[in-house]
Amino acid sequence: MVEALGRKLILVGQEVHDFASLLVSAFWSSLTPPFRLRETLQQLSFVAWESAPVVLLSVSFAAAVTIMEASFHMKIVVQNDSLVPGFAALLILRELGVVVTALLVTSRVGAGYAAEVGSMQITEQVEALKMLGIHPIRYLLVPRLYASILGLMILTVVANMVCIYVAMLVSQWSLGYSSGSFLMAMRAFVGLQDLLFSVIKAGVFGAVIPIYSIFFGLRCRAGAEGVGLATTSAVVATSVTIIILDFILSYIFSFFY
Amino acid sequence: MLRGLRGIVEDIGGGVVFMGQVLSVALFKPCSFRSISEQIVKVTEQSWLTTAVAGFFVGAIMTVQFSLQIQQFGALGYLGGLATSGTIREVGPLLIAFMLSGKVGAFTSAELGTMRVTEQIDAIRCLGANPIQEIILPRWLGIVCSSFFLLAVGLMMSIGGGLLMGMFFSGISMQEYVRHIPTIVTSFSILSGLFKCLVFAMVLASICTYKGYTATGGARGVGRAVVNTAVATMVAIVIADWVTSVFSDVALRIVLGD
Amino acid sequence: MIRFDKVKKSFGPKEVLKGISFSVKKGEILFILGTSGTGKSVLLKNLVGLLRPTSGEIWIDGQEVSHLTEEEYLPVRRRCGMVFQHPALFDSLSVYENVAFGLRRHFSDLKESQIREKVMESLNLVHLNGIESKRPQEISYGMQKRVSLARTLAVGPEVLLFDEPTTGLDPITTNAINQLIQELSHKLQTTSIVVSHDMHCALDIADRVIVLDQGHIVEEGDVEHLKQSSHPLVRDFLQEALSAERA
Repeated sequence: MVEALGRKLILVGQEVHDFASLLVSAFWSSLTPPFRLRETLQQLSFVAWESAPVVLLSVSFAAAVTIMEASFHMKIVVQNDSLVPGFAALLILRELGVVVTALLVTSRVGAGYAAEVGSMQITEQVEALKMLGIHPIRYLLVPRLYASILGLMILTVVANMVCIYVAMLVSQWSLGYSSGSFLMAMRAFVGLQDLLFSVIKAGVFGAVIPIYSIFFGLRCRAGAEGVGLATTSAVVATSVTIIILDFILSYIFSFFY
Repeated sequence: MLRGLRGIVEDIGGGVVFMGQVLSVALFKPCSFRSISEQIVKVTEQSWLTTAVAGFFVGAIMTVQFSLQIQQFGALGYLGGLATSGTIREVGPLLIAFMLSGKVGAFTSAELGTMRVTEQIDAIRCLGANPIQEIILPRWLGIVCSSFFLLAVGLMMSIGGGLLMGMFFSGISMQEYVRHIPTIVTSFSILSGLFKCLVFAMVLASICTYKGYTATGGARGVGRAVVNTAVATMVAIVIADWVTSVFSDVALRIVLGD
Repeated sequence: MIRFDKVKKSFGPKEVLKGISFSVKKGEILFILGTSGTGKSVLLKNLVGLLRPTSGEIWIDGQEVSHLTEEEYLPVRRRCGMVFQHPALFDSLSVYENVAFGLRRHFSDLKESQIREKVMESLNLVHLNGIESKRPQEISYGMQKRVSLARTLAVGPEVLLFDEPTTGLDPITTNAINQLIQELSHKLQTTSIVVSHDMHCALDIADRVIVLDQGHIVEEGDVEHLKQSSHPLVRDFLQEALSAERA
């Protein structure tokens, strides 16, 4: 019993140690050259450009729902629609825009990286890199890290814009707001600092995604089962971490309004 | 672009045919109750912690975001009601379902994909059994039941998370926080939230069983199936979110009679 | 007893089998040889209905099977047992339950004691005892392959189909599996079709060999006939096998 517990503790300790050393080496190698600009740009196109259709489609629907829900609540509390734009924009800019985007990118890019690195691991490509004197973490992680941080920031700005625009269209159509009065009502609640904060959040989430993906990808065990497990673990760990970080960041930012 | 669009259309068509097969098996050759309950236990056991944590933080985030604005209007009394209602009706089901699509959806599609590429599904057919009846139907039903349950648990946790933040962050007492919950959160809101959970659970179960069952091409193929499952599930959930919102809006108008 | 008649199979624009005709007699061991990706496995899967031919006919004992429905295929699959390239054991079930799986589906009226008897009998045939309660992950790859064979044998098939039975195995296990195939065909009077790229095995135990290249049959005959063949692919195969023998 005690022995089993001890063994489990050693295992957990080993994992924490592995993860921490990955973090340290990620931090160190991301600040020292070479930066491999071309590879980073390729990855950036994968993260931002190729994810854009999926992300923008999803946030548009989320924006439409947000307007409908906000109007439902305002009718109950203040018996009219005057606060709808404000509340909807608040929810979109501070939460939905960045979190929905980040979670979608997690499942597309994060899972993709984990599957890719996992396949490299089990086909001994990672060993081959080491034999060539290339540090696998630096080689695999650094371009993806920069691309993911930058890509998610860009995506978040665009997603927020599209979201607000769709929200404006929907409220024009269902609540009879003109775009001018919508923007006026919105300005009472949100400002440029909200967009800034959401971009900061996006940067943090963007860093989380490749770190977990490559951590789980490099620990991938052989066979189809191993790749599946690595991919799933990466997605789950990233999503949970994003939600928790989102809470912490929202809490911190709330002191700056 | 056009090729991508064709892929999506083919996927939807394939998925509809697949669900038709599952349905006809469900009607004519139902699986044993035991195999369903096994799946329910497995999924619930794996995912309850993730869902509960996610639910708790979603509730907490909503309270933090709402409290500053409501404070400006001097209506902190409404904080509990508004945050809870907003969480239960939209943000909660959406974000918790996102979590589940990573946890349950990706896991199931990895499991089924592995069975497919290691020829276990072919082996089932060769040994005289129907793979849809033996492995797909129990998983589908199990995932629907347990995801619905997990989503509901997540929503309850979100109320708890919101309450806790209301007390520690916004500094209002528990009584004040819960006072307006019943006036704003109507039974119709709860029903509409639960309806969303049920729809999301079905979307989730259908996509992951289909994608896993149709995986091809070794370990790499399983990886691809998992990625596609996670993305397709999330997009489908966002769209389903909008459809159910419109649906419950219309239902509310019919009930209220205008 | 089994006859393929101008069988063609395409996947999208890619034609994998381009009109294959051959027949198998009862009790013989037929090897189908070819390099990787020439459609050998596809051939086997067409026979048991996991894939359906694009055109052509497949006859088993005077019955045309390629147009049967999934339901109607069940008796055919009971008679033609397939051993997959991967062990394809169900990893959530014990070895015992894996072997019993087909028995429970194909013969729903068997009593538990009869099932037990048959499971033990088939595990005996592949020389495995005392591992019934283990999980597939806990036994070696070679053992998994043999359990997979036992699972197929349990339902008492008249025809055994082997998909690359020795790929990825060490030479010693390869020999053991080979001997097992020969032994079973003598002991149980089964017909065997073995898909492989191992000429060495074919020379050892085959009654007849078919060589497949790019969707066509390029050579057909017994081992002696094969050794006289002038087809370049067959010569390459032979050279490789003979040099291995000399070493």
